[in-house]
Amino acid sequence: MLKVIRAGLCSSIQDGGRQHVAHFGVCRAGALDCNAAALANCALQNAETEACLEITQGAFEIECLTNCWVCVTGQRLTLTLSPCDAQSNNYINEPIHAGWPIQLHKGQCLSIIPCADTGTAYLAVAGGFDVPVLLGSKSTDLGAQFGGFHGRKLQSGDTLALLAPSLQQQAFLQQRCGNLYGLTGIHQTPPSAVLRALPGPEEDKFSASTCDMFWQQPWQISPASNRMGCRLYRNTKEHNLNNNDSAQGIDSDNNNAMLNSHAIVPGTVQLPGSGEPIVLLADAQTTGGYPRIACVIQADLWQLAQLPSHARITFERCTRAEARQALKKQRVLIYRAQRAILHNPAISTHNA
Amino acid sequence: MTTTPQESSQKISDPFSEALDQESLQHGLKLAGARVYTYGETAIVLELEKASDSLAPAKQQCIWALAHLFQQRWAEHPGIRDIVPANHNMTIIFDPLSERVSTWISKLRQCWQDLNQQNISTTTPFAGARTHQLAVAYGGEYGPDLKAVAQIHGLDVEEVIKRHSTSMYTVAFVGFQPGFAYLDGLDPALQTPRLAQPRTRIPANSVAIGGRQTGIYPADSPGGWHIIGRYITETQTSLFDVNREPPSLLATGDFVNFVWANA
Repeated sequence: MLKVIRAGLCSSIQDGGRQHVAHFGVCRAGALDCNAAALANCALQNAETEACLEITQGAFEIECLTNCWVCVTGQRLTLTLSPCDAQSNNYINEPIHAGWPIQLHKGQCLSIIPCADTGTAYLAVAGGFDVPVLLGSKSTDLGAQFGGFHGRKLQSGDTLALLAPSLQQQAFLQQRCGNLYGLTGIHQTPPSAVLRALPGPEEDKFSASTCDMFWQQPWQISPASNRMGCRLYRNTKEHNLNNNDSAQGIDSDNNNAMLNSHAIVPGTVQLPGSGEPIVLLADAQTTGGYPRIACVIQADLWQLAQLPSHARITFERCTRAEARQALKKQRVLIYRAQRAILHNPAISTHNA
Repeated sequence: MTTTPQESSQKISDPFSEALDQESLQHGLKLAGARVYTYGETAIVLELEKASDSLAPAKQQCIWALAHLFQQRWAEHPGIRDIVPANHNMTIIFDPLSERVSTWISKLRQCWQDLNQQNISTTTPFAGARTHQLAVAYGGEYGPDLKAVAQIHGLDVEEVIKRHSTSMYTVAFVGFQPGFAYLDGLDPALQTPRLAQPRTRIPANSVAIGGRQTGIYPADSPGGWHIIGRYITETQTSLFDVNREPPSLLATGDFVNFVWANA
């Protein structure tokens, strides 16, 4: 079992998300950065889409109540492991790194200390979390308040039950964790500030100048972003010379008025009347009626979970073939990491 | 346009499918009475022609039938993520690495053609449709936008409530959030454009008007509709329960009546 000491601002249990339920209005949910979650699971030989703790914003700390193995992934993380009081003194001074399996002993506390530009972190535990599978997934649906840990964000004091890892997993982890040379870490690609996107179905309903403004100039990530959507803004000062403090979007040509509701997929960039785009994420509503100017490709969507507030991003138009290639490449990397960890214990897959 | 070796080796004789490989596809391909377009790399959409015209229930019936047929044929396909009927359109969401987009479009087109030959009855209710009487407390703290809606249309508040609670609605589709039913049949005098800037929080069970439709928010959420009342949960079944089968109280094709409970 793991006890939450400090929960951060929005930490929840997430797996690969739900499918076949959008027609009930149930959103996909699931990890915002599927790759980081998959890699954390890989390092522990869990199934790739096993549920993890998704940790965003603020310091996070858990106390280990029963011995277990965990792995934390994410960008620019600082991890510390408090010494355990009892017998296993040899673990005290071991460096703790993201992307590596960590053995936790009863009484030890693992902290994730955020810095200004820390992205979303994932904590996987060997065997997985013991939470109910609802509508095919362990993910927390924060909007509808079901799934994960009682359908809500984690709070300090929550105690999370764990499932036992398989015997093979235990043997694998025992072999690796006691021996520094046997450890295998996972390298994670840093996020890029360029998001490749396909033109959206309503792109041609916007004026040419609106489209140019959208594609050609950088946007910044608003701190008002959440799991439903990444809100973008532009600061007038930096684009215009009139000293206007207010953030300014682009003219959306009054297209917001009466578009028929349609299904929504994560990655869709809506441009509502305010002129400030929203990139819809895993918890986005299943249908909506705002015009879709673009769709961020699936292979690049994870980056929004790893870029800090106020980071500058630009959209780059790409083709469906490029989108497909990028996604294929990403799946191959995860597959390779899985194989490498399983078959090549003494050599790290990448220099973590 | 670049293709992978795998893609270029698969020769497609169907000129329709070849056309699909053009990036211009996003502008849509014509089918009888409908248009198909790609939506990102993970979805295709079939949209009925003149979808922006007044919401004819018969047209929505075609969408229900199409969704039903596609579900029957392809829901078990491992590449399918979701089949989502919406307002005069239906979206198929798939794993982009499962099959080429042209293959999905061909499957969809086949369903649409088969359906057109079946001559769907536009007057009979959708199979399994139920009728729900839903009690609502209008106005006051439960309906902060009721007065504004009345003002926009030059009606008094009571008239808005009367008109809203005497119409017979059909569930066009369920979407946006779990168990949220988009209801067709709103009195034209009450049709109100959505807010330009959506609210960040609308309380659960709020009854609201957006455009030509009305509906109830089953859970707290952001939203751009005008809130006019509150579905009374103390005495009625919850709109959405994840442990119930099916989880949503209101289903596509159902009939809904509102009852003015705080008159």
